[in-house]
Order: sequence, then C-alpha cells, then structure tokens
Amino acid sequence: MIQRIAVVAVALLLFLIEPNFAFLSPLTFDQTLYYFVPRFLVVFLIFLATYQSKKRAMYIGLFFGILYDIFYVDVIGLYAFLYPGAIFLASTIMGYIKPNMMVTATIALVIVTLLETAIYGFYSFISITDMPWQLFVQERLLPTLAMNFLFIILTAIIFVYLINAKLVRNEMNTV
Amino acid sequence: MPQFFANKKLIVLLVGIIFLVAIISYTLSNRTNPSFAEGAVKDTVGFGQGIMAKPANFISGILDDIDALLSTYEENKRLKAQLDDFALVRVQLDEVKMENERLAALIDKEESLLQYDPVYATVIARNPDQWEEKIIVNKGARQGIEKNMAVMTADGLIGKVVVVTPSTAEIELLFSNNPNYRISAKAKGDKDVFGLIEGFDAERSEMLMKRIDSSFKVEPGQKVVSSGLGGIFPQGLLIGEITEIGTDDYGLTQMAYVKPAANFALLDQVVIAKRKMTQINGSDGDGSMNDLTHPEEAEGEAQ
Repeated sequence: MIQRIAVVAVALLLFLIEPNFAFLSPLTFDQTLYYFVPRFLVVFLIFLATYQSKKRAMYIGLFFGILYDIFYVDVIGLYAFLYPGAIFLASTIMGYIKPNMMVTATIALVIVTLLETAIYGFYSFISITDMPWQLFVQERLLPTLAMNFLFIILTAIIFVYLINAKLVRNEMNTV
Repeated sequence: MPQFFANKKLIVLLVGIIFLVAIISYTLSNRTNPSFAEGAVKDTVGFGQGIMAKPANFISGILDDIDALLSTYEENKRLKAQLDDFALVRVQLDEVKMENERLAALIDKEESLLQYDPVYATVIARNPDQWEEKIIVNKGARQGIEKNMAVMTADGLIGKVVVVTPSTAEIELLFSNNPNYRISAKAKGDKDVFGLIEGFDAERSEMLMKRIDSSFKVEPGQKVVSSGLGGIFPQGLLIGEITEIGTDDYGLTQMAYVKPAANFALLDQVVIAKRKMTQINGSDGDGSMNDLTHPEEAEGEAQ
C-alpha cells in the first residue's frame, strides 16, 4: 500500500518538476537555440510498466496526460492519448525481451524519440510550428534525448528500487 | 465480420480513438475560453505548480545574478560613459513632462495611450514540451487580468495573455507562429511608420513586422514599439530593433525583421500592462480574420 502511494507521489512530483526544467530551456550556443524537453514522467511510467503493472502505469499515464492537456496544451486528448500509447508500446516490446535496467533504459529512450516525433508531427499538422525536420532533429530531438538519458542514468536505480526492491537485488547479483 | 465484432478490445480501441479525435478537434476549434471544469483544474495544478516553481525561480534568480556579476566591469564602463548624458536628458525629460502635463490640462486630456497599470506576476510554469511558446503566471481574473493584455519584462515586450482563469493566466510569447497572433507596432524614426508584428522566423530567431506601407522608409537599427492602435496594448512598449528590410509576400508592402529586445530564456518575473485608456478589440485583440476586414477597427493599421 505504502509503495502504491509512493509510486503515485513520485509520478505527481515528476509531473510538477518537469516545467521547472523547461524554465532553463532553451539554451543558446552559437546563436542557436537548443530545446531540452523533460519527459521524466513517461520514463518513470515505462519503468513502472516493466517492473510492476502495465495497467496501472497506463491509468496513471492517462490521468497525468489529461492534466497535461488541460494545464499546458489546451488541446484535450493529445497527451491523454500519447502517454498511455507510449507505455503500451513500451510494455509490448518488453513482452518479447527479458527486461533488465539497461534494456528498459534503451527502450525508454526509443519511446521518448517516438513521442517527440509524434508531437512534432501533430504540431506540424495543425501548423503551430513550421520547423523543418532537420532542425527538429538537431535542436530538439538530440538535446531532449541527451537530457532524458542523463535523467535515466541518475534515477533508474531509485525507480526500480521504489517499484520493486526485490528485483534490484536480483539484478545486482547478476551483474 | 462477426469475428471482427467479437474482438472486444479492438472495438474499445476504435471507439476510444474516435472519441479522442472528436475531443481534439472540438478543443482545437474552441481553444481560448476554458470551461468551468478546465478552469478549476488549471487553478488546482497552478497552485501546486506555484509551490514547485519557487525553488526553480530561486535558482534562475541566482543564475541571473551570476550573469550580472560577470558582466559588471564592462557594464560599469559603458554606464559611466552614459552617465553624463543621463543628467542632461533627465532635466530635459522633466521639462518636457511638465510641459506635457500643462498642455494636457489645457485641452482636458486625462488619459493617454501611453499610460497603464502594471500588474507584477511570477511565472509558475512553462509548457515543458516547448512547442507553443507559452508561460503560465500566478495572476488571473481575480487580479484584473484580461485576455489580450500586453506582457513585458524590464527589457521589453514578451507576449500577450491568451487564456485567463480565476487565478492563473497563460501568456503566448512573441515567438509564436500562430497566424492569428498580431501586434500593432510602429518603427520609431523621424516619422513613425506603422506595421503589424506577425509571425516568427525560427532560423533567424527574429520576428516579422509586416504590412509596412512601401512609400515609407524604414532602416535597420530603428526601434520598434507597440503603437497602441490595435486596441488593447498601451503605446510605446519596446518590442525590438529592425535588422533587415524585405518585401512582403505579394510585393505590395514592406516587411522588416525585428530582433526582440527582451530575453526569453530564464523568464521568472513579468509585468502585465493594464492600459488605462478604453480597450477595444482590434488587431491586438481576438485577431480573427473578420476584425481586420472591418475598416473602422483596422483603420489605424492601414495608415
């Protein structure tokens, strides 16, 4: 029970922390703006789906997706669809391979890439942005991946410990 | 076919997708007026966000301070050079102000487009996906914020209010590429030249000032300020500086690239300008295509 509350609390914390990282972005190097988009919540939920329950991760994803839509985007349904979709995709891939921390981290990065691309596609479609694909990859996708990669490295062990302490011990033994 | 309907999961998925597309298209077409439930959620999340934003604001404040400290020496040199001028200009300004007051009293003119009430607000969140350049501040309808008000920092104009809930407001920054986002502006020179700020060039990181009458001459280096003729913004808020002149899409009017004066990174404190003169909905306002074809509202822009 305590663990369940802890999981939801961490999800809430990450949801509230994300925009604080967005404050520091975009950063300017050599006259170019680089955008770092925090996707911490999705990364956490992918870990949750892998190490605990896919269904719960998707419900939490749906809930925070709707909050995200209402508070930031004003297009209800965008993140509410993409968050659970991303988690579903991740855990489907996980079904075919035996998950460990490295694999989960890699899959999480792949999913973040797909998520960013899907959102780029959506915003291009409703013509909020006219950023060319090349610039998108250079100025948004790569910095975003770098940031989230750093985040995963720093927190993966904490996540897995929080979600399922026993597994960590197992994994540590195998390494 | 019966097999298809037997697959319950698939049906649920399809219905879900149709439902989502319906909601998306509904909210896309009706974006600016939040419903009561949306407003409540926004205020609740905004409250949590406001608490979480405190440490972030603190850190960005420190970063600002460090930045200021590093450039102190050069700034000091520059400012010293300006100081002599300053005293002179100050005296002149006082003189002109007094004269202006006297003349305004003479013709019973109480309010001018220049005047506004500042409302100070703290930024509590910035859309993490950073596609739409929006920030959310902790002042809302209760503090008298209304849609379309001008928002600035000490350096210059940064955007305008697009959504208001009772205790938060959403600000769309000048970065926006939204075609309905226009600001009536003028380039300061010997003679003021009017145009509209619309659109943003992502590759140059500069704004586009369009619809400048081609019979007027504009030059790089001229300052661009808000004209106040769009109906909602006060007059004279600094927007930026012209860097290059070009021709508009159809070759009928001129277009200028404007380098924004304000710094958009590390925004934490903003000022919302509530203009004192009566507000009307013109090109700074709803900015719908209809408004601009109304001659009585677009008059100021066309000149």
